[in-house]
Amino acid sequence: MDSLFILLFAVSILYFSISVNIKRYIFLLGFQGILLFLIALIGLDELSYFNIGFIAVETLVFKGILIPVYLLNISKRNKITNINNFKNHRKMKGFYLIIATISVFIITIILGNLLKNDFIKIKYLSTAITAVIMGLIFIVINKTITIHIISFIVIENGVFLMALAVGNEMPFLINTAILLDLFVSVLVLGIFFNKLTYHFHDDSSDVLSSLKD
Amino acid sequence: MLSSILILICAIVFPGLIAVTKAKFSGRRGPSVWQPWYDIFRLLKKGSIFSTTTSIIFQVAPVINILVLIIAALFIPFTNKYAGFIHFEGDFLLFIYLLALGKFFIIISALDVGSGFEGMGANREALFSMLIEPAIFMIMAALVLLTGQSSLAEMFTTFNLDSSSSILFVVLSCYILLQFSLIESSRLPIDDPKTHLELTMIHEVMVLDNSGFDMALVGIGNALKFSIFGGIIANVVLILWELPLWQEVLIFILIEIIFAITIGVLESFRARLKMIYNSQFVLTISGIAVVMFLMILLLENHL
Repeated sequence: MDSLFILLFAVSILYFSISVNIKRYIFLLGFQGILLFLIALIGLDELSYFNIGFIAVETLVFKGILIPVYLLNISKRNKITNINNFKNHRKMKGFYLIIATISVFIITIILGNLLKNDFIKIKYLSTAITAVIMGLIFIVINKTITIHIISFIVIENGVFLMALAVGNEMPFLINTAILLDLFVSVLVLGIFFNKLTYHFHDDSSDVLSSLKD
Repeated sequence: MLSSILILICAIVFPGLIAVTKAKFSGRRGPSVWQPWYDIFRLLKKGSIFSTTTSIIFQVAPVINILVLIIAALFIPFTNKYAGFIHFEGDFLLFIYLLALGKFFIIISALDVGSGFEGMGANREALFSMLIEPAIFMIMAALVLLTGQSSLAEMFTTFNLDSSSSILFVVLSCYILLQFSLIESSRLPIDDPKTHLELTMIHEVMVLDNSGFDMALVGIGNALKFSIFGGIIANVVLILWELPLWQEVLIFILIEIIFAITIGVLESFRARLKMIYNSQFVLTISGIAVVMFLMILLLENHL
């Protein structure tokens, strides 16, 4: 069953490539959060009640509900609905992004198989690396700060999945680190973003070049 | 043979059901379920008019299209009990290429007219067909991988839900086949059969010069194509259970009806994509199929 969820996670990365609507991005983020919870629940062998609770809070509550709701509020408050509304918002077309995603996925599967390590779950690892690489590509090619935040969370989701790939139990330290990362990234970037749009009325990172002391 | 007969029967109500569903969801009373067939019979009584610029290709294309679709329908087995009327090793390849052949003739007949609009439609149709082709090949390849068979009939006989990759295949292939049928039949979100603006048309603009008998054949071909895809989905779903024959026949027809209503519902609530987004949407469906195939490769330890 975990294979189906992993596959749906990979499909969600594909849909990230063609989305232009902020609501759809946020929906996909929430969907990924729920998928991660289900994957962790099925994939991890050694789970104590504390671990389940912690993972549920991290994935279901934070990644699945709180962060999407928070991002939705930010986008509503700043009237950001569609990234196409911003000039030169993206340097790469969705068509090429899909080809890039599939290529990355194929390469990671081939490389993963070369490892020939019984302790590593290849399907988890390849999807995780694809999420991390595509998250980085989304950040590089997009100029809108909202997409930067969303892409960062995609990378975090990839890291979470990677932690699942290399062991049957998920160390508490990794969980805490990811949760801390999310707090810092989403909350700080959210506050920063609100301030930025308040002053510049624009979501593009280009406006940062006009910042002065 | 049973599935081919059922597919032909379901093709009769398919276009009408879609039209009625769309009418109901938009708050209209809508036409009768048989209205598309009244139109087709009206057209069948008429003769065809051919432009002087067209050649024999334009005249034979609708006939070839309908013929290859009927032959393709003969390949479809009925669940895991009865093989299709035509079946042999590697028949799935011929099945796919028969569907492509029909489309190829419609495309070159549109180019044969020499009209700029029809050429544009043919160009778009060829592009989308090329981009969606990997999806159906990936589904078939996954089925070959899971069953170890290369005949459609054998594949459905051998297929079972023992492994997680089989469950994964059923879920994803139903979704991909639904999208594939919408794209292949030029429906929303790629194309709108009700559009009246030639610049935004894809399939409709290709058959603008067809009239009378030929136009009726094109209409029958569209209904038949939908019914074939519905038949494949019905087979994928029906192999999950062991049921008596009469129940399987009823469920087969029921799935075809649900498939038609689903298309009607999707078209009622879905907006048409901008033309520039069409190719990336089609490629995404192929991408999902590729990812599914790779995952099955991993799960079955073939890598």
